[in-house]
Amino acid sequence: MKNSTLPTGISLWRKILNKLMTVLIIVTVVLAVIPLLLILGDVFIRGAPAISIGFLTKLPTAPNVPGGGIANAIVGSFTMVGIASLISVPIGVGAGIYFSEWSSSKLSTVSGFMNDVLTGFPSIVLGLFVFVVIVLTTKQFSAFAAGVALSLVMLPIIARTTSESLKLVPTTLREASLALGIPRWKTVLRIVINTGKNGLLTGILLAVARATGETAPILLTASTSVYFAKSIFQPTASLTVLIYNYGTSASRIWQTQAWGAALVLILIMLGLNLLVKFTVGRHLSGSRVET
Amino acid sequence: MRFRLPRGDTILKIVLVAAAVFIIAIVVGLAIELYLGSAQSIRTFGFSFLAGTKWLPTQNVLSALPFIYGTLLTSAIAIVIGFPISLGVAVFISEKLKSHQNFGYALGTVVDLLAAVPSVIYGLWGVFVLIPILRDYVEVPLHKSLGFIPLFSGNPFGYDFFTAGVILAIMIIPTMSAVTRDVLSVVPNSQREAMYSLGATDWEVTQKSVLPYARSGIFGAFVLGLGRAFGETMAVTMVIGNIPNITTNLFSAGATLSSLIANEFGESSGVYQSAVIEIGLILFFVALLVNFLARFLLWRMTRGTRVKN
Amino acid sequence: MKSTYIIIAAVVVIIIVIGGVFAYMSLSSTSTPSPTPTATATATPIHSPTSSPTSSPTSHPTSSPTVTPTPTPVPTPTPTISPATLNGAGGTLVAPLMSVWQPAYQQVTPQITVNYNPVGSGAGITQFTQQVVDFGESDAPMTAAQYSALPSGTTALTIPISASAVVPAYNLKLVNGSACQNGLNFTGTVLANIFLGTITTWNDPAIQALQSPSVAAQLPATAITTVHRSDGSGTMFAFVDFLGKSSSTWLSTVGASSTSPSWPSAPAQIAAPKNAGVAGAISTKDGAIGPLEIAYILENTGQTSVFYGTVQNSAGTYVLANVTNIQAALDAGASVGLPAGNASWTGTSIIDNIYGNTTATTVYPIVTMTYALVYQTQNSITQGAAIVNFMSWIVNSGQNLGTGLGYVPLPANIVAVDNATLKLVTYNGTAILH
Repeated sequence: MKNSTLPTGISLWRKILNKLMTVLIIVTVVLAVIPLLLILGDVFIRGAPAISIGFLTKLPTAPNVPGGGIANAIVGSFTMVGIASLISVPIGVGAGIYFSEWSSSKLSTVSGFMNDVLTGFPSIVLGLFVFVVIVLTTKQFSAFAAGVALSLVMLPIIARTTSESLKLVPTTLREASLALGIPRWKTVLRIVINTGKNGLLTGILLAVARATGETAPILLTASTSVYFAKSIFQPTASLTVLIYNYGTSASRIWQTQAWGAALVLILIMLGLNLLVKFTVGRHLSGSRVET
Repeated sequence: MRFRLPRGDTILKIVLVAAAVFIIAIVVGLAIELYLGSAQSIRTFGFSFLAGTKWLPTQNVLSALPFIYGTLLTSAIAIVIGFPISLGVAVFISEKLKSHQNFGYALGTVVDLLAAVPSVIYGLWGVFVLIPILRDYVEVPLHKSLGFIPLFSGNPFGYDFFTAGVILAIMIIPTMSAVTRDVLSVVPNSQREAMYSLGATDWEVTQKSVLPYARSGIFGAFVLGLGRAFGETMAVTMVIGNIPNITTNLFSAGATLSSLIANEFGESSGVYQSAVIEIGLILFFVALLVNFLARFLLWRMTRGTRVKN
Repeated sequence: MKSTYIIIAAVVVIIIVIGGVFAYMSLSSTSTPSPTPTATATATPIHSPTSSPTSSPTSHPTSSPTVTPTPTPVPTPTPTISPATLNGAGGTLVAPLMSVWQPAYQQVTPQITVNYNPVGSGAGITQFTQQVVDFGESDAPMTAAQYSALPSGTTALTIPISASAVVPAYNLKLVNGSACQNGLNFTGTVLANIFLGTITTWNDPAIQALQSPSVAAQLPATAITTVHRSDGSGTMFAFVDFLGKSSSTWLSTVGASSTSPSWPSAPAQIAAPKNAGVAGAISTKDGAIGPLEIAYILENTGQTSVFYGTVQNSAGTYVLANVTNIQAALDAGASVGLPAGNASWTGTSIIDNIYGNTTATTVYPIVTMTYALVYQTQNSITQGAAIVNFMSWIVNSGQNLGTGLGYVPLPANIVAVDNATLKLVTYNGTAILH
């Protein structure tokens, strides 16, 4: 329907503004992506010379002796995150289920609120807390204390993602199950969790990734070591603390090893994050955790 | 008809309640421990702890203001740089790439990967790569040309508020852009369609309809980024220079609440240790307030507040 | 369909975790061979310096000194040492030497593992007081306040384990574009003024006056950036001690030395954690200068950015630190008057002892001993025996291992004091060493 009495078209100024803003927006995207490429690139370039089978399997050496490795740091990091997962996954999933299935109860509101508080805690303060409560009382730096500190980092993430993904399960499923006479506990455990398990796994993987990359709490609780720890109640090396110590040193050999360790760490982190993205799909809104 | 709950239900509920209570207990325990630890310092210094400007452990003159200032300043720089970029990325993905969902998802993944990089690697990269680049190509020219402005008046070192702010900006971009993307995707298409049918350009649709609608959520994303910036420790400690300083000069070394704890907790004892714990308490409160503001704003957004024009 | 991916991912993760656990278990069992009674080092303090790494004292960063020291212990019938892990924490000054000692000691006493966390002397004393480590370590002897903060009923033993030098390290591009090498001259007064902020550029006349004319002409107008420790440091303690003696202005502005001195606000300064951090900061900034323990320069073989200068001693000679002149300082300053191990070592200072000595021409003026801190009464025989064994080995057999990094072997009189101190360590009332 042509109406030739109305002005047609958009004024030139508005067109220019539109184009300008498009360009600006693209600039911001470029600015956001460049640092990532630079960092990943630098870690790869500077760290690759350090990587070798020996690097991954040997123990550290003195700052002026080449040939050292980070084997104990890798095992140490896994150990601490393992301990942290053992503590935080059951509790986090349990709390998340409670938030979602009994969301109207007072306990749920209060605990959910507290969970948000815990999310916002700077990890160094958590490390401080565990130092005072565990390290000072056991008179011992240990992988266990670091594991507890990391579990405090992981717990709110897991609880939150669990509750969000379970909330997405349609109520009709629950109602149908209950209508069939299936007891509530079976409904929750067999049906709701089964449906929402993608989200649960996402949350756990994200929490594990976050804990693996933490430095400050481990610094305060696990000290360091140049050996494999003989028990979890002894000081233990970890990748992040090693990167911090070696990276700020003046020894060229240690600096290169720091980059090598950084490369190993980044590969682990990227692997975990990409695993999350590609196995769980994009429709889950709780799949990014803002911490 | 059963009138008694099956035992499985009770057991499950007990276990889950225990988990929920545990969270409350941990947070309360944390707060109590922080308070107990800082009690000695609070008794000794009182309010002057928040107002004084000197941190001299050996002379028992301790005050948190330089560190509060450092935290606020670096976070402010991070927001000023990071917020526009995050907003741009989010708008790009959610508005411009509507017809290319896959590309949008991929780009979103790439930006999110920035969040996967651990803080200590940011610090390492900052020391070896960013500081030389910023110092020689940004700070020195700025100092030479705009040195009369107090912001740029200092001799550029590299280890300063500015570099710490830039690194923080990079670290909070993924958080802010992800939340903003989510928020923008909640804006109903009817809003956009209405504007288009009135003859608006793409930018006008975004500027006049989508962004105002999502205003609350965007603000929430911004505050969330701020919260993340406050608590960041390792990357900041490695590049900020670690000298308590209150100055408008961006190119001066400084210190933040979290960098102080990282540096000095290990060697502190007695009143000094209590003061460091009090710094932790302050940090906790600041992060708490900011996080709550963020979540409140986001909650308001997702409850669908109407925009008043 | 999606659940297949989940299952695959979960399986992969489980495999990784199990693999990690197995690796941990298998590797940790290989690092602790079963202890055989004959393989122990002696528990009786026998002075047996058997290793001899080469090192000619040079003023340039040397290529890596030998680090394959395997002293052959003198076999003597001894009580067997049970497997133990020793955890220590303390200054970064001795950290490079510790990392040489650890593998060497492991070879001699495989059932004892020693962990050392270089957190800084201040933290070393604190953690020792908190009893979260088996031994503390510090370049600064404990102060009176720190002695009284010890848990009641405990006594700390102070055991000098090594000595090294603090040098003025710098990174400076000369007028002709080349990097200034080792050997720029400094005096205590000039250093004090630099760190006070009254000397702000490298071509300041006060600095130029100390150099030969050709060097003085090469000094650029670059601004001086001072670098110091952000954490509690014995290295700083020694340096500030020296500055305090050299300059009354410094003494009145900054006060007596401590591990966390109140640095004056010089216009351009950076604080970095640990000796390593200071070295790193200096290496990235043209015009930076900071006090650094000499090993951190010598260990960084092949680097081209951090060099160190001479310091004028009280006899007027400009001395570039090396093992010989550090040894001379040790002989001049610590030959007499050391307290007993369980007494207070507050105020013990080689720097103070040699300052003002106008006849000692070959001494390097900024030399500090570094001390291990051990509780006199041990709560566990395993840990106690291990500590005593390790300390005894360090003091008697490990002294020559660090000369390439600038660590000076303790002279015989100090070794004797240490051996006597180690005899004071008791468990359940009886001395562990007999």
